[in-house]
Amino acid sequence: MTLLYLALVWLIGCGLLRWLFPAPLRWSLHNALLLFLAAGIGIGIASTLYFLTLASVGPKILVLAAVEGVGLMAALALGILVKRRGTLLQWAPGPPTPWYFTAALGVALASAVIMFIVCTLTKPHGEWDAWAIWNMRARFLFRAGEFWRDAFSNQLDWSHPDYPLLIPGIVAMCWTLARAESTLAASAAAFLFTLGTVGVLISTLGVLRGKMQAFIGGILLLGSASLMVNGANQYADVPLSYFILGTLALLCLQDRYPADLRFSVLAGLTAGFAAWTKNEGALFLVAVIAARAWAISRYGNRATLTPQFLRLAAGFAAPVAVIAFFKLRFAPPNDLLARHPRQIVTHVADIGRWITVLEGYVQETFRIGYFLIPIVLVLALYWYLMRFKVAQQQRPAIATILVALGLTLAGEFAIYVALPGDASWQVQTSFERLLLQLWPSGLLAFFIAANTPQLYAKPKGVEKVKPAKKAARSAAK
Amino acid sequence: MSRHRFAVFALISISLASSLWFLLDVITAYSYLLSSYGFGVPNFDARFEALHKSMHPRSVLGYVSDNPANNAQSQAEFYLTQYALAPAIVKATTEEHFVVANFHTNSPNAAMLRAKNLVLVQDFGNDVYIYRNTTR
Repeated sequence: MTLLYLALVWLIGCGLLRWLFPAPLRWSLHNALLLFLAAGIGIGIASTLYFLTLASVGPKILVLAAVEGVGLMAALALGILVKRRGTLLQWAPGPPTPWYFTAALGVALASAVIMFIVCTLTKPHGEWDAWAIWNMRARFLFRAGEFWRDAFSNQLDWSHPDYPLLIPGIVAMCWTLARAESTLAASAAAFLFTLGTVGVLISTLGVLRGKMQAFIGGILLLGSASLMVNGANQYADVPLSYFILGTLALLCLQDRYPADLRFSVLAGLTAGFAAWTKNEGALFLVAVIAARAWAISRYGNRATLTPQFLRLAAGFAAPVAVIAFFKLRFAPPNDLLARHPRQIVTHVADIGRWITVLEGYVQETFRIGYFLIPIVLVLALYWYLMRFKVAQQQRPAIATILVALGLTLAGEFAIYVALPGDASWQVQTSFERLLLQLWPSGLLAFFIAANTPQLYAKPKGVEKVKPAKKAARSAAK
Repeated sequence: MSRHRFAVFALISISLASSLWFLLDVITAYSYLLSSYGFGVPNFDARFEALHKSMHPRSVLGYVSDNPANNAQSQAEFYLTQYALAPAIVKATTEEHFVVANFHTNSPNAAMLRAKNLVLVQDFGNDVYIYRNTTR
């Protein structure tokens, strides 16, 4: 039953996305991207509906089922009855992709899926943060009945009761509707987010740069064992990574199709759900707004700034309103913000903390993805051999990604420095996962910018082809 | 062209090799878990199930253990106890009326319990007990 409810949640996302970006119902890159995005959008919508129902009428299963059911019916009606035609996303033209790229992608996918399943069997409740924070909160919401607010008790301050509820909400919703607890709910949601991240990267690169670039990026992300392991461990960093990538990918598509402003609406929604997933998501939301404003002003068409921002704000308005409601009405103060300002100033003035955090940033960068060789060095070699070529049209997109990631990293740096406790321990135990949040988006920027590999020599006829006008003139003569 | 080939094959080879290498590690860890005593969440859930079923959802309990204080294992077991007993709230103190005991023996240290003013209320098996603090 748990899997059935998650499938229905996925359908909510499918209906909404099909309404926004209608396309013929057949296997296509367009529909693949929508399916990968629909998983996260559906989970985001269902978890906010669950929380709002709980907050307004309490743990009443019939009301919850009715609310979620109406949400599902409305989304399906929108998706099925839509008449208009929208932007159709297709593979960007590029050189033919040799068969062994598909084979390598298949091997990488099989290895990643097996790794995820084995990790899940080893730890069905996830790793430390999963059971100590996210799944425990879900247990409180499901088991406590009318006392569900105890999930945010000050007496559980070690479990960060101020953290937002996307993951606990969707897990508790599945349990409530199924009337039984099952580790499948959290595992299946984690699977959707983990594989969804890979799917969003491949599909977006496919639209922007073609199949070969998409497959290389996909193989690299699937080879990042840290994504699979942390995903299977049910850490919320992977869903956050998914929403960050989703937001930035949609903004890239917005630059590719500037006339269709629905990309910005959806990007706003995914950015809002990033903030509903983890507190770092709120930092990302601020960072992406600032990055987008700067990127459009610097590289894009300034006339598009206002319409894009209005759509972006329309997208994140609802999730941000739910977060504000949760934070103001239920959540205790954040452990960092609850500190006396003097303590924060003392930490910030301690140069040793700056050096410790900087050292951690450099060291962890070489460990991204658990590769056999530090992947940043391999990517540096790849860049040296392939070089970047950024088209004018792609500059706002690349600038948005790089500035958003840079601001998020800088913000997290400041939090490490100001955070109470041992900065070295904090960096060692969490920075790897913070980098993981940004890693898929970093790969998106890298492979948008990198040249497409030329694996075969161009046929001589192709190299010496005449421009169309000259050819026409010579034919007339 | 050969530069491009080298770059792509290097990237893909390292990616696949890393993934398969890590997969071996993960499978080995799983095989070890199957063949050994599995410490972990399911084990804790099973140990505390009887106590969890007998409790009011809004209980607040103290906590006592025979683990050495201030090490990662003790901390993990305290959090696991809270996870298993949710939505009851477990506090890392014996200064509550009822105190849940997470021991690793069925003959707990009587002197330690006396010093903390704890008297046994019920033995739930699996070295899980409920004590009452006589001063609260």
